[in-house]
Parts: sequence; structure tokens; C-alpha cells
Amino acid sequence: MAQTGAMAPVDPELSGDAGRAARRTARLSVGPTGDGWWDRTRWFIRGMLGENAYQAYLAHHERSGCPTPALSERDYWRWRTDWQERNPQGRCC
Amino acid sequence: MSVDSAELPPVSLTEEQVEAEEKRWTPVRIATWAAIAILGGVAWVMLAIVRGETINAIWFVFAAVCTYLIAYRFYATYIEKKITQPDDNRATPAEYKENGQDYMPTDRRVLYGHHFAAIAGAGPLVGPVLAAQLGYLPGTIWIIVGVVLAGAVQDYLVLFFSMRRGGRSLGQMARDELGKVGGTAALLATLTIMIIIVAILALVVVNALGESPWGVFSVGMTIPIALFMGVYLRYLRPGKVSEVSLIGFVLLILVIVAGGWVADTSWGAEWFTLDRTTIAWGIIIYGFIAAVLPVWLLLAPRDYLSTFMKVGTIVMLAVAIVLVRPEITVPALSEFAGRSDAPVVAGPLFPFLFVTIACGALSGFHALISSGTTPKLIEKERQTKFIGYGGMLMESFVAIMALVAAISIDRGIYFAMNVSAAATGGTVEGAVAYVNGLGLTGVNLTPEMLETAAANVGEESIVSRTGGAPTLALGLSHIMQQLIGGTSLMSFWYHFAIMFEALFILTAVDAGTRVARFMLQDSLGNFWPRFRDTSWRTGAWVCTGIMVAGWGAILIMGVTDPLGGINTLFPLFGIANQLLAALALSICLAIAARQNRKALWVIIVPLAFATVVTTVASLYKIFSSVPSIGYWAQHAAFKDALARGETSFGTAGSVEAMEAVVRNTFIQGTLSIVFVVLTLIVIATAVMATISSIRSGGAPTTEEEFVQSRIYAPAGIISTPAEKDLEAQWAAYLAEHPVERVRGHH
Repeated sequence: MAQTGAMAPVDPELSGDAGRAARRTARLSVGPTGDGWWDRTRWFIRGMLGENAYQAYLAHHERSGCPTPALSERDYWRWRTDWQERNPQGRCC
Repeated sequence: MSVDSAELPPVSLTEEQVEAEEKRWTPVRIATWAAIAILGGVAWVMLAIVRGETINAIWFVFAAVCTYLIAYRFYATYIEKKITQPDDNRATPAEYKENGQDYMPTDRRVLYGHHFAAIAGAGPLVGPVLAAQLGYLPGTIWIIVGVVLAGAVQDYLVLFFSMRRGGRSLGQMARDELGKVGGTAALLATLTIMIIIVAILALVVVNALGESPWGVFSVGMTIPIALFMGVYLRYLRPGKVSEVSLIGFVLLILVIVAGGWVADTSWGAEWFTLDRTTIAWGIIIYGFIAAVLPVWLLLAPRDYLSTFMKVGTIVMLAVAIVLVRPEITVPALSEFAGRSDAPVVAGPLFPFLFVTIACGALSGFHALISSGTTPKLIEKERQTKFIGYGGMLMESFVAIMALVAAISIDRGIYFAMNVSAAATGGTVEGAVAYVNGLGLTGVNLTPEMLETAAANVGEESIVSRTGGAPTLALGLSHIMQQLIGGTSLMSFWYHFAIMFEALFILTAVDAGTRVARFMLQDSLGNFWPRFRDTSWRTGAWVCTGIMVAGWGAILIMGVTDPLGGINTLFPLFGIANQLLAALALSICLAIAARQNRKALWVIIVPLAFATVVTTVASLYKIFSSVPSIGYWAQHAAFKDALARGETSFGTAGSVEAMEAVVRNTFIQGTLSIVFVVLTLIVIATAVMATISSIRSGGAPTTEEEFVQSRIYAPAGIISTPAEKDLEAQWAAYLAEHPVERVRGHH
């Protein structure tokens, strides 16, 4: 499983970007599942292709404390490609 | 800020720790850097001074890698200290705007690969091939020195400044820094430059596939493969990206092999031998459809496939060059280095070398990736040096490998492939007569050499296969066959390379059209607000149509041009790309001056160089009286010939062809003027903004507000001892504090 990190105690008065940042976890990016070379290679390739986006989303969702249930994997990828539809990313020459 | 971070371990090394780390010159460290410097120095001496019969390709690798290491360790660190001054206490947009979507803190090593895959494309592969006509040295020096002082600096600064501004795009930053006039000029310049870049990339593919049934079949098959992958990811196994990429890759290898069988059958040869105009129309229609189809169906899966192939092939080529270590017989400086009548791309070395090799040394297009996509994924501020500066060094290395591949083939074959059909007549005899007539030392081309080479790679002919891609493919197959398979596998490697280039050029065409369409909709929205609504189908179709018509017209013009197409258009591509770089650097200059930074020369040097190179090259293209260099001189010569009632002139054999030249040169000449004028407006407004900032000792910042960071990650690829210590503190902290939800957050 991905490292989901921890939540540090937060001043409940904080609001805005500062408050949102404060509510983030300590370690955010998805790490490799193990220390072996295969785990690391797999993690790198998956990360580069963007495959770990759903895991990162789940971790984000859990930390955010959002009361609605997280999207299923299928729905997440639909949401993501629909979003890409409206926000095209350039590819270089 | 009032965030109480007392209970967290530190989120940043202290300045003293960073300082101490840099100054910790242990004997081992001193010895390592001395060894790197000596090896790099020896390699440069071998390349530039020692004149043997041949030179081993391994020296290119040493010269490049040692120079990159030293530049990264010392020069990039200098820029970090003097200009960017990152602060790991500051949360990045990925941290404070995290949304599980585009804002997402990403491990620096993964992001490096991601960023590299986004910036590297066909550009660094094509330019060095065309510049090899001058010998290996001019291109090598420009690629390596250019990236250190210009290209990597641009990528790093744009990435950093965009990150400090919440991931704003280059266009938005131009508006913020330069006001309305500069901002509008920047937007128009970006839009027109994108059109020309997409058109010329498409032209490279057309030239590689023209009259090649094998290539047409295998590249054409990538469309059904991508559609299959799209459906697989949408309905069968959502999110299994590497699985589907692997399936796609296996299918890709199958269609490359199958292409050889199909091209051998009579029906295959009949169906898939297409002339360039037909292929160009095919790409135009494809480009329109791809840009309006849902992203998940074609663009996203093609992008996965292209990333997979790109990184895999580049690693493979690097390993092959190191293992095979080919001997290079091309001279350091060719006969054409000191002249202005070189046959591949005409014009004197200065400025044309510097616009022929754009990507790999300095590429303005990267500024569009470094602002917008990557800055929203950066985890910690200090990682920008590794991602931005380091990512561009890797692209430069790709350009060096492309150069090595191109010069590892026989020089006579190189010219036969890269000189336009207007000069060779497109025949083996014509090519042999033309190339031998150039009077190059050590070149003695025979018809057998060309025929054997064509047969080895499974093509009917390799004469006048311009555009760089076929030459690179031949070079790659030449190197790879020495490692695996011998000459019997050369045709596979050749078509593998063609596929690899075509794949990511087509991805760039799709994505470029889409991005340009959104830019156009945004601009039109100023006059007709409904265009801003990007989900409005009619608006989307109209704007896509306009963009496709723009690059399609230039593509058709290039394909039908009696003067040889790519060879006259490629300088325009380089000029456009470097103008975009000058534009991005000028925005960086205005920002750095606003922040009251002192070492502005770091930006001024590459900005001045890019401005001079592109302006001089544009002036040549506009005012040169030599028809092979100046668009208007060519225009006038053909117009006069028509006025005199002549029915053939130069390489144009009919009145229609002559009229085509008149029309094409008019468009090319006009574009040259438009680019240079727009960019000079942007640079002028940026310089004025810079001077006013310097006079008043800085100006109010355009950065987003400081937000306290609450995460930690090291800056570079390898953690330093102090970073390891901090990582250990965080690991211990995390073990004690399991996930704790925050109530009340939406």
C-alpha cells in the first residue's frame, strides 16, 4: 500500500490556504511499496505514467476528512479524463 | 504566519545546514570532482583539438555528462542562491492547493521522469541531425554549452516563478508582469508559434512516411491500438495504466514486424504506398478528429504509449552507444562550416546553427510545460533545481545521442538522404552525382551503397528522405544492429525508430491543437464571451477547425513546395522556438528585477543571445538577397520569372510550381516578420519593466502569499546526510502519529 502519512495537530481557528495547508499530512507523495529494486522500479514507472493518481487521491481524500465517500477507481478515472478534457496539457516538440 | 508547527519535525534544513553541506569539501569529494573535471576536459580535447582519422563516440558521452554534472553542481546552485532563493518553509501550490487532481505533491524522482517525458519530443532528435552537415563540433558545443547557459536556465526559472505564482501559465505571467500590450503580444506570438511548430512536426512525419508502405501501415495501426487501450482503460480495467501500456507496446512491436510482411505483398504495397500530399491530408483530418474526440479515447492512451516508447528507446540508445562505442569518421568541421551554401539548411553558421538546433540547447516550448503542468506537482521548493535545470540537461543528452547516431552513418549517405529531391531528382543516380559533385573529402558515394542501405532497412529508396527522422532511424539501426541481430534486424530497428518518432510527434500534434484551441477560445472570449465556455460544442469545433486549418495550410505548403519543403521551413521552426524562449526569458528578467535580484546577467546573457540569433536569422530570412536564404529574394526571383513569361525556373518545372513558390515564400516571409515584430514588442516591454524595477529597487511582488509548509522531502536525487537525518525524524514522527482526520473540512 501507499504511504498515507499522518496528520499533525492543527489549530482549528485557521482558515483559507494557510488552514488548508496546515491540515495536510506530513508526507504527501505516494512512496514505493517496498525497498527492493523491483518495488522501486515499478513505483517509478507507475508514477511516471501517472498510474498512482488514484492512490494519491485516496490518501488526499482520507486526510481531508471529507464526509462523502471517496470515488471508486472507475469513477475517479472518469472524473480525471473529463477534467483533462477541459484542461489540455501540452506535449513538447 | 501563525501556524503552530512546534510539534512537527522541521520542514526544511536550516540555511546553516545547507551552507555546511555545500562547503563540506572532504578529500573524497574533492577527488571525485577533480576526476569529473579532468575526464570532461580530456573528452573536450579529444573532440575539439585532437585530429585523428576517426573519433570514438564515447568521448561525446563523457564531454556531455561531465559538463552537465559540473554545471548542475556549481552553476545551477549559483542561480539558486542569487535568483530563485527557494524556501522549504514555504508550502508549494501542490501542498496548499492539493485537490487529488492537477495539484498533487509528487515524489521528486517520479516528477523528474514525468517532466522529462513532457518536454522531450522530436525536436532534440531532428535538429542535431540537420546540423550534422557542418561537422560534429559546432552542434556539440552549442548543445552542451547552450543547455548549461540558456536552455536549462530558462526551464528552471520559468518553473520556479510559475510555482511561486500558484502554477500560473506563461501567458498569465506575461499579462501580470508586462501589462496589456506585452501580454497580448505574448499571447499572439505564442499562438502563431504553436501553429508553425505543429505544422513542421507534422511535416517531419509526412516526409518519413512518404512512399513507405511499411511505415504507413505500422504508424497507421497505432490509431486502432490507442483506441483499444482507451476502451480498455475506460471500461475493462480502469487505472491499470502500466498494464495497458505494456499490452500496447507488445501490439506496437507486432505491427512493426507485420509492416514488413504487409509491405512485401502486392496488395500491401498498393494500398499503403501513399504520396506525401495524401499523407499530409490524412494527418490533417486525423488531427481534427483527434482534437474533438474525448480525451480518454485517443489522446490519453496515445500519450501513455508515447511516454513508454520515448523513455524506453532513449535508455536503449544510450546503453547501445556506450556498449558499441561507434567510430565516427565525420570531420569536426565540415567544408560547409565556413560557408553559407550548405545543402541541407542554407545559411552561414551564425546564426543558422543556433536556430537549426533549438530543442536540446534552448527550447521556448518548454516554458509552456514548465509553467502550468509541472509546477502544480512540485513537493518542495528546493526540488525545482533538480526538476527544471536537471530535466533539461537530460533533454540535451538526448540531442547529443541523436547527433552521434546521425554522424555514425557514412557522410555520403547522410547527404544523399538529407538533400531535397529538387537537387537529387529523387533518384539514386542523381543523388550519387550530386553528392560526389559536392567535393567532400573522404566521400565517394556509389549507387550500390545507397541501394544496399535501402534494402537493409526495407525501403524502396532512401534518397532525399529529408526531415531528419529517417537519418536518425538509419543511425539508430546502424548502432543497434551491432548490438543485437546484425544487418538482418536493421529493417526492424529502422522502422522501430520511425514509429517511435511518429508516435510522439502525433501526440504533440493532438495535444498542440487542443492547447491552441483553448488559447484561441480564451482570446476570442474577449470579444464574444460565449467562446470562453469550452464545453460549448460549436465554439470548440470552430476553434479546432481554425487551428487545424492554420497548421494544415503550412503543412500542405511544405509538402508541395518545389524547393524542398522541410529544408526551407525548418529554420522557421527553430526561429519560432527560440523567439518563444526569448519571450520566456524576458518575462523571467522582469520578475527577477521586480524581486530586486542582483545577478541578472544570468538571465540577460541567454536572453541577449537568443534575441540576437533570432533577430539576425529573421533578418536574413527577410532581407537576404540570396534566394536560397531569403524568402523575399526567392519570392521576387520567381515573380520576375513569371512576369517575363518563363514557364520553368530553378527547380520549379511548371508555371503552377512557380506560382506555388511565389505564394509559399510570401507566407513564410510574412510569418518571419510577424514573429520577430511580436517578440521584439514583448522583449521591449519586459526590458522597460526591468529598468523601472531596477531604478526603484524592486517592485511589489506578484507571488502568491506565504503559506507555512507542513511536509518534508529532500531536494535532489540523492539525500545528503543532513537530509537523511531529517527524513529519519519524519519517519519516526509518522510512526507515532497515525492518520487523523480533520473535522469540519468540506
